[in-house]
Amino acid sequence: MEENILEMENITKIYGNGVYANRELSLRIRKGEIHALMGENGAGKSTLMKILFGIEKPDGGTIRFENADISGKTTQEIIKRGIGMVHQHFMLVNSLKVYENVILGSEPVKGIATDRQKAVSMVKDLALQYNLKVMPEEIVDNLSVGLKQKVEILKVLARNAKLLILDEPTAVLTPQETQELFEQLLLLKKHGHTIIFISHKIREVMQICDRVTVIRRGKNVKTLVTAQTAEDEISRLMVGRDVILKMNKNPAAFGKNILEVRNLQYTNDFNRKKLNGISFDLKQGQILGVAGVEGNGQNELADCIFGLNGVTGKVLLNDKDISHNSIRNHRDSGISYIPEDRITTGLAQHSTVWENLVVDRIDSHSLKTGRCLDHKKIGLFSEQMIGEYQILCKDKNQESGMLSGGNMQKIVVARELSANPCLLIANQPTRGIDVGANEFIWNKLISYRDMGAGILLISADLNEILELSDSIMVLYEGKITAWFEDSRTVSEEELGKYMLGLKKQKQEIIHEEI
Amino acid sequence: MKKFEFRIRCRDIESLRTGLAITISLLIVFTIILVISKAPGAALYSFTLGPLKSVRRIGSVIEEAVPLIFTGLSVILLQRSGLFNLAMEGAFFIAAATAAAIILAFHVPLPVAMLTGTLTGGIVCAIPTVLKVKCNSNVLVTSLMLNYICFYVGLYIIVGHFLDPKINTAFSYKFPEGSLLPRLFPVTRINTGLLIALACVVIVWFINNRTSFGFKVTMIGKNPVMARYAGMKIDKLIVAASFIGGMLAGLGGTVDMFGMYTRFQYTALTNYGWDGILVAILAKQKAQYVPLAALFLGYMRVGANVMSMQSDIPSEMISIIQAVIIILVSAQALLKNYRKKLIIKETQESEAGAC
Repeated sequence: MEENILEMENITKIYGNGVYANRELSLRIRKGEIHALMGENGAGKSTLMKILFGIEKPDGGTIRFENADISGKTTQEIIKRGIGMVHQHFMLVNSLKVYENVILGSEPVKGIATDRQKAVSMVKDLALQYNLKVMPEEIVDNLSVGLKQKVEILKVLARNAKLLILDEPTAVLTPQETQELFEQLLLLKKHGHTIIFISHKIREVMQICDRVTVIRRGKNVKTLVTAQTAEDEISRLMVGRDVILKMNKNPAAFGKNILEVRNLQYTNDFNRKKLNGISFDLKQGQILGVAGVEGNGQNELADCIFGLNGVTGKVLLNDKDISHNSIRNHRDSGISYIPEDRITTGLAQHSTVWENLVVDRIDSHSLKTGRCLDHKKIGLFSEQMIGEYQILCKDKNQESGMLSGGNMQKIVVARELSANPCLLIANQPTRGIDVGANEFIWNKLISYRDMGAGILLISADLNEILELSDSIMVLYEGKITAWFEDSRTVSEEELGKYMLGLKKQKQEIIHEEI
Repeated sequence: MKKFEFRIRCRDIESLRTGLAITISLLIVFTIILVISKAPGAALYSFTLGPLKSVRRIGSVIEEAVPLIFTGLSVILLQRSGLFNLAMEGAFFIAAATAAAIILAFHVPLPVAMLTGTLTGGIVCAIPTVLKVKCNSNVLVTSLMLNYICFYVGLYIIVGHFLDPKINTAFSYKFPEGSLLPRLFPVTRINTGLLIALACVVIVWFINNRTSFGFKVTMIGKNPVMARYAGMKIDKLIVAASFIGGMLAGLGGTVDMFGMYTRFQYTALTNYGWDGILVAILAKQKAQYVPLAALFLGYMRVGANVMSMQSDIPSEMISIIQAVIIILVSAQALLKNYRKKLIIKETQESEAGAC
């Protein structure tokens, strides 16, 4: 029997909103292995790791690391003991240089000043040793996402971490970057490091992990040796049933143009050009997928079309120029928008479910008697929505923030789709929600497309783009670098190359296709 | 027979917290009285039961509550959109001053004077919000500063033009005949202002719960980013909400002036505006609870006054109670663990029920 480096026993965590994040969860990691922690979004993976790292306090259970009890220790002590975490959302100071980020908090000193030379050479050595190719003197803001992640890993290594936790490291990477990351992880393993690899992508786990622990709804289901396990088995364990990864949809039947975007330009508050001459058409009954590594202008494109940002260029809806209309006008003329972030934009957490469901249409006569709000009508409408969109809540008066992520998203989707849009902008419509809700939302989107709505689908999830889209465009540094009128003609690999900017279609070809 | 079941649910926690805050602050005050008073029994007696001893004193409680109802409602509307607009204090004062000036200068009918005061209050409270919309200035700072402008401008109007030289305090001339709010009960000074206040309670409740305007303002307060995304015209809405909030404070000022006094007698800011914040907090930002909160505060004020007259405890004691209540009610941590326990219990129960 090999030695366990980490033993987490019977961990229980209940969040303030009454959600069981972990329930008597146990996790044992052997020294020197790459151990995958798998589960759907919201299964409790991240919470478990936050508990291990001392960010969240467990309501029960013990944690042992290298045979010492570390339950209830602070994050700082845990880092000192040799556990390091690479967060899903990078914790880097963008305006500082790479080496400054790496040494931040543990600077080598000469007198009272930071020993710059020593720091730079230390970072260089580390990078060389682990084959993490980054320039120590580069400003972090100028790095690509893949490189930023390398800086994060360096940061952890510089603190002598023996156990590395990587929280969904591949979520922001292209297929090519992912492969590079895997090589580095194997190299780390060779050097004797232990790695916990959090992911919900089965293929990746099969590729590099020794063992896998599957958790579901906060409980651990099973720990398996990957080499002796089939992909289907893991996926069954994850969701408790067979997942339909393929969407069945009718062949596309495009109508006339709904949305025409012409030479859209947008410069953000930091004087960065986020959109640089975007032009495309979207037709009735078409789902147009926007692929791209995050931060290449997708959010700005959605916000600009919906009128949240000021733009230069033209946006035409059904042949009418709407570039300078208000959001109210946009909504009234049939545009709906599922925003990227349901918590900051999509809804008000401290408001009730019904308030969030009617917030865009409170002036509508269907909710009023005379000039007053009619709470009977509002109640009926809300209950109908809750039923139709299967929003799991106590009742319409429950605070929205108490619901799970998937159910919050269903509120947003219910509100936006029930407005019967002719144009729907869906920005990350299924991010961070469980498979059931995911499938539900996908089906809803497709049924709206079949009814003749045009859908602009922005997603960081390539699988979602490929499954749902009829056509695909790739955004890279604020420009359209590829256009596929028929999404079936492009593979995931191929898309990855365009997303990374390794490949670009000629602008003339793109314009011809459009 | 059905068993009577008394259960506390999570949603009751808020009221429980308010009750606990009031109880604790009262206990603190009782302790202080016990420690510093030579006759603590008598002091406590006059503090707690003094206000009920005579019709006049009961009247005083209600008289004290009326302006608090106005400013409490004003604060509810002013802060509903999430802005921290504190101009109600100045609005209350300058509304009374303008109304008094108008009636003294032009002998207009009382309703006209009151309307003028009300509109002045609305404009004053709208100013910080307009500045926020136009210049992105900090509402807290501008509204706070505006209060001093209101105070000195109001004082200038009265002292500069309407000062009665026959008395040696800085009061204005007497208001003309027939320009006082009719009294409702003999002995007390309770007047039709009370009815206006109660009507305002209904109006504010209606705005907040039955109009789309109130709904929108509430949602802006909950999440302005979402409100914009949902298609609301935020700038117009928050200015309108400030204006209405200011009108309530202004109306309160005129009601106080023409209900309680025969001349303009304020020589300092009245503090009714600030106390409105306390009323709004106690009423949990709900219009329907404002009269209750205002009565409670009025009761304590009168109690403190009676106590200071009949014992060796100064009436400033009331400020301690107020401060402690504010701290405790706004302390989110109070009963936090208890709340969590309840949540866990309810979660487990609902799961057991689902199985």
